Amino acid sequence: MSEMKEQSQWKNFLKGIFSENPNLVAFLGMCPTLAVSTKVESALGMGIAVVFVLTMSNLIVSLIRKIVPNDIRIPVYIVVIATLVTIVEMMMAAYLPEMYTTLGVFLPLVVVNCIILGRAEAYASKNTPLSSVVDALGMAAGFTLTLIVLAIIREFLGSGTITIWQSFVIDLSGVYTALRLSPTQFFLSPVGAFLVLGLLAGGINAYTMDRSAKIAKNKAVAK
Amino acid sequence: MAKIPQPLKLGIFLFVLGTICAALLATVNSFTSPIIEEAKSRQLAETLGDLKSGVTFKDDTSTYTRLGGVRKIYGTYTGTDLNGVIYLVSVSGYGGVIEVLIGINTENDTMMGLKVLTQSETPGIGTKIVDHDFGIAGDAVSSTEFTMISGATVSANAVKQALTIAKNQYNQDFN
Repeated sequence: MSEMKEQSQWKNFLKGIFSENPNLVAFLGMCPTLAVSTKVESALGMGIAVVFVLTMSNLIVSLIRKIVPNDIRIPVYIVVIATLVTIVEMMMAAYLPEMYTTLGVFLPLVVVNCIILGRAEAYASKNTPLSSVVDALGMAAGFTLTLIVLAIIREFLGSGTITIWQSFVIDLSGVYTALRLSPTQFFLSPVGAFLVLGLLAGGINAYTMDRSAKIAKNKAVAK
Repeated sequence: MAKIPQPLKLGIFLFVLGTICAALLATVNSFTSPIIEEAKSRQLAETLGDLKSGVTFKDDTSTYTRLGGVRKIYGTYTGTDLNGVIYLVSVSGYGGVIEVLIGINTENDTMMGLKVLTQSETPGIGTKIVDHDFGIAGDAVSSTEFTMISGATVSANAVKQALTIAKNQYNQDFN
């Protein structure tokens, strides 16, 4: 595995965003996905936290994979993940206090995010540190991008703005005035979140299925 | 050398891991906690200023007998004259502890208003308590008017509970 080609590492990274997207294909980590995507800013904050925790946990789990006794591997992973999340929590409270307040309870809840434990158990415990880090970056990017897309749609439909970072807000209320409509709170509610997420998941699955069908067809033709 | 029994081996492994993690967290905490404390006291001073401007604040917590839920009592002074009290009340909301600052003018028994200091409510729903106008500023202490938030009943009720505690404390000390 150590001489894995650059090409396949790139594929390893991309699978987290498309074919194995943790949110839209595997439906893992739904709790933060639905709760934190009311504002692009909080989606970004949650994304940063997950990128850090997932990359570090995959790296550490992969490094210690040969010395961890099989019987207690899950508690070991949880201790590693909980430590990383607590570090992120303390750092965020100190340096990004507003973000810390916005994310609230969902920041400590990253500990039980299935994506992180899932990647530790399914991937990092069986692969080299390099592949594990690439896998983590791909998965975290998939998670963050999904959250951001979801948040852009929900914030635009629900509040008419796109809050990128603190006071850097794109005000799109002009669009509503032009159309004589107004933003609807519905999209900020959990029901709105499920609806947008469902449509997004349907879209990406239709795309990947269509693509794999085409690839299969091309292969058949080549034969 | 005698063979170490398996459970003990596993125990030792977890113990060592736990120790390493604890040491790591202690290190991070040692440099983040002063920053967090400083930010907290700065935020407190700002919030107190929002409730009543042009006065000086003094921590009078030890002067009074506190009711349950009342964590701190700040007096507002112009010179040496006490003209108001601000209670820091903590109640439990939907997602954890909510700390609310509630100010009452002692000169005419009216509410200065309230400010949510810390909370961990559901983003987008319970967090509305932070910016919501509960419509109590200027009311008499005896008034029961309170503007609820639809969809965030638990969080808003927690704030209401904090308000009741503060009023009880005030009635005990000043009426």
